[in-house]
Amino acid sequence: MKKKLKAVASVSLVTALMLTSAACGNSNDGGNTKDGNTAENNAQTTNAGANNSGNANSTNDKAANTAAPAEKPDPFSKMSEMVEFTTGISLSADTKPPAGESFENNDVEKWFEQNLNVKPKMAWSTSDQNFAFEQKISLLIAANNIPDVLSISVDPNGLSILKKLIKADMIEDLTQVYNDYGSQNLKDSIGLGGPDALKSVSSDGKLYAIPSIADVETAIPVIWTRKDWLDQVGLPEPQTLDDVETTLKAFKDKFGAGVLPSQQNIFGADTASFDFVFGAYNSYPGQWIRTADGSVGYGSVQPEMKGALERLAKWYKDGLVAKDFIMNDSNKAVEAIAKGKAGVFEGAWWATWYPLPDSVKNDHNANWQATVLKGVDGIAHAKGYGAVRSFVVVKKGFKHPEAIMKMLNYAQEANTKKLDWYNKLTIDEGAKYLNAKMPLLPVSVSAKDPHEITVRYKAIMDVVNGKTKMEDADPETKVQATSILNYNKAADKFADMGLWSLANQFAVGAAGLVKNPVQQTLPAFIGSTDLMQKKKASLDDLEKKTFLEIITGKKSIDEFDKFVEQWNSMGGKDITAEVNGIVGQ
Amino acid sequence: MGIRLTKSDILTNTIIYSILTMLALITLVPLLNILSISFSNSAKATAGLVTVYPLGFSWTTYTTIFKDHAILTAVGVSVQRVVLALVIDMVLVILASYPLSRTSKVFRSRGIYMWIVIGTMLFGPSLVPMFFTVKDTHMLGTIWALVIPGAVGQFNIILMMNYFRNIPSELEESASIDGAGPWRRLLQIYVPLSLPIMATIALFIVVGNWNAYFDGLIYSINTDDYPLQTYIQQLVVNYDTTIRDVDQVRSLLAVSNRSLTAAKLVITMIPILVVYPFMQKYFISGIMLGSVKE
Repeated sequence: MKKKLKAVASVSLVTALMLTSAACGNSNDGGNTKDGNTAENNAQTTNAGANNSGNANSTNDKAANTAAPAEKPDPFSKMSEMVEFTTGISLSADTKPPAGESFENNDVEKWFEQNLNVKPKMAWSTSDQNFAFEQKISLLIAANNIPDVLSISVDPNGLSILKKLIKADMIEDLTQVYNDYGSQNLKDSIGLGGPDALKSVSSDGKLYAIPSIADVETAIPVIWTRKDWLDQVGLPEPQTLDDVETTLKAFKDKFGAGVLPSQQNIFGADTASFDFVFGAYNSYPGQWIRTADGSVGYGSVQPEMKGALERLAKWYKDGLVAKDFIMNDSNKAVEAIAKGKAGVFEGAWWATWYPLPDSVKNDHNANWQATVLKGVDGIAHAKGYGAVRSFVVVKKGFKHPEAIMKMLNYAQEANTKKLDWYNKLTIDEGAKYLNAKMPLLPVSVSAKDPHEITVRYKAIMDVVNGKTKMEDADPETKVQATSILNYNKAADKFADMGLWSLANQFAVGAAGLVKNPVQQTLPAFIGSTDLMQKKKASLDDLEKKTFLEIITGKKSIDEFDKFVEQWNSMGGKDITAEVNGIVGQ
Repeated sequence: MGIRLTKSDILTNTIIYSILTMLALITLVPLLNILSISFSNSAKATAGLVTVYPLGFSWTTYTTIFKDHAILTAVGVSVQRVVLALVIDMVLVILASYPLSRTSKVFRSRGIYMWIVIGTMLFGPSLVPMFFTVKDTHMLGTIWALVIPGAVGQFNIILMMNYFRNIPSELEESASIDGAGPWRRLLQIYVPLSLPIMATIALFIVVGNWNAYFDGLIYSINTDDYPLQTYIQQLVVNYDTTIRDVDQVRSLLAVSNRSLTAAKLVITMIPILVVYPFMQKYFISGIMLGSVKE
């Protein structure tokens, strides 16, 4: 049975290759080998609004002169015949498509149909909560029934799913397609994610997926403090862990709010975790990092962990951490914030969306400010996510992977706001899809600048402070800057909480990110290995149990060394060797 | 009442009543809490301030829900599922239980069938084969995927079979002598006499189908096929707050609205709360009094 499958697969692969190469030979693109300027060609499609005047990009309008087959394929050219593909999508509960429209039928999709000859068909959809999407994919892999194209998120198990797909020989090798058809803009943006970006979705030197690059700054833990309370107790904004301690004690005496909202997920880059404490000691639990000797090691077993755990144990003993934090998740932990029983907490830079609105609604005086703490060595440290957030795979045997690649090129143009017709539909005031909260692009990819937030913050503030003119700003900056200006003008600051969240997201949250320059330690390895699949679960249990016992004082800090030994002997050592083998390739 | 209670009776009653009151409160308080949260201001709910009465009373959550097309679709799917399941499951359970309640003398291969029923009860299929079966029978994405796979409840068969066995065989014998065939015996004697167990099983079927969420998740082709509980489960179970993408943050704002979630929960509870009192009257014994003299 297996053999048969393999035979079929290889035959189909060969035919696919023949077809694509044939297509390359016949593709009469006008030999336009502009690299960096492709965007210019495509951004010319002005006023392709709802009526969709169907300006194909200029490349296609060119007379089809016979190009030499050796000519480079054009990343933006129209497919010679209609390519239909199936895909699965996830929808949020508040998706509201305009009347009569859907994922398969909307203006963006029509544009793609007319100008690129591609047509998506929704094989299925799931909710975007609770990993329903990932569950569905796992099931379909088992049933060998995946759709032609899938975009899979790395979090929580995306990379092991990718491994499975590669092992089962269910997806196309995209190396050639990416090299030939990937647009320069997309390649440059993926390049920003560092060499690991492509490596983490490759196997044996073959590229099996097109990655989406995440911004890495969202992982930075931000300390939010109530400025109105600080003023009352006469303290400045905390800068170090010691300051946090002083602040908590002062808040306890004055407001009965001396407990740091905390939860069982102690280093999950989550609201109310302890990431900021670990970061301050330059320790990165749960993350593979480059250690002092240049090899890759597991953050949780590095000696830097000790200081952080010791500090947390002390805080727990002094009652600065909720006694029952082991029972709490982040939803429970944030209750204290809404209740007015907490004045300091760790959140993300976007905390103005969650959990702050409820706090502000309950108490209009609550003035939350954000900052990044300096570490014990005086430098702000933070962990990072892997540069890859999600990736797109193409089912084995799909005849036109290059069509998918072209769609991704356009998606990247759309992400970087270079498609005027797309901006009109989705961003500008009164845009048709502004609040639809539905996936519009047939296949999406988002290769962003990893430091997008700080870059955009500076651009927004320049507009707000009048350094740049509003009309010169890019569409997204315009939206944000306008919201800040409107908020500053508003008589009642809390009438429209949506505006409050949007304006303060950058004005306060992102401002906190740039207060102290942060040294981020990005993972040296993301993903999962064969040994990890077997042993990581029990190692993680041991790790979690040990850390919680040390923090709650059941074990002394000296037990940490024993834990490291145990971790190594239980398979950690082998996993580390395996990871080094992979990274060293 | 002409009965005089002694001191010990009073004591016993006090203890019994207080235990019962405690039990009632244990079940009632969480319900009241959810109900109150659904009528409260969301910010107060998130702060954990709401107990058993609403703070900042408003109807907004409910008006929002009834404008929400997705939840209404989900209610429709669930109702359809429950009605179909009730009819189909009931018929199948009765038809299976009656022959199995006969002795091996009458029904020779009873043992084999019994083992088949018990066997499937002990060794259920795992997820993937189940999914294949549903897929290959072309039920994916239809209401049948939710109704058919669980249509024959083995546990319900055993319950009903045992109830049938407790019905005195003299009744059946006398009916046979009067010339009633098996169908008539089943429909005119056994079924009318088994109303209590029927009601119980009907309740199991209704509650079970109304509350099932996992199959909805697996067998749906798109989110419009979700039954109500699947839809709710996607909202209520802890949402992931380790967001890595700024574009996702706004959806977090929507799901972190505790009042709205509570209101949706209330809506899912209503049908069961409504059905139960009507079922109550069947849970009475004494149906067979005087039918047989031994």
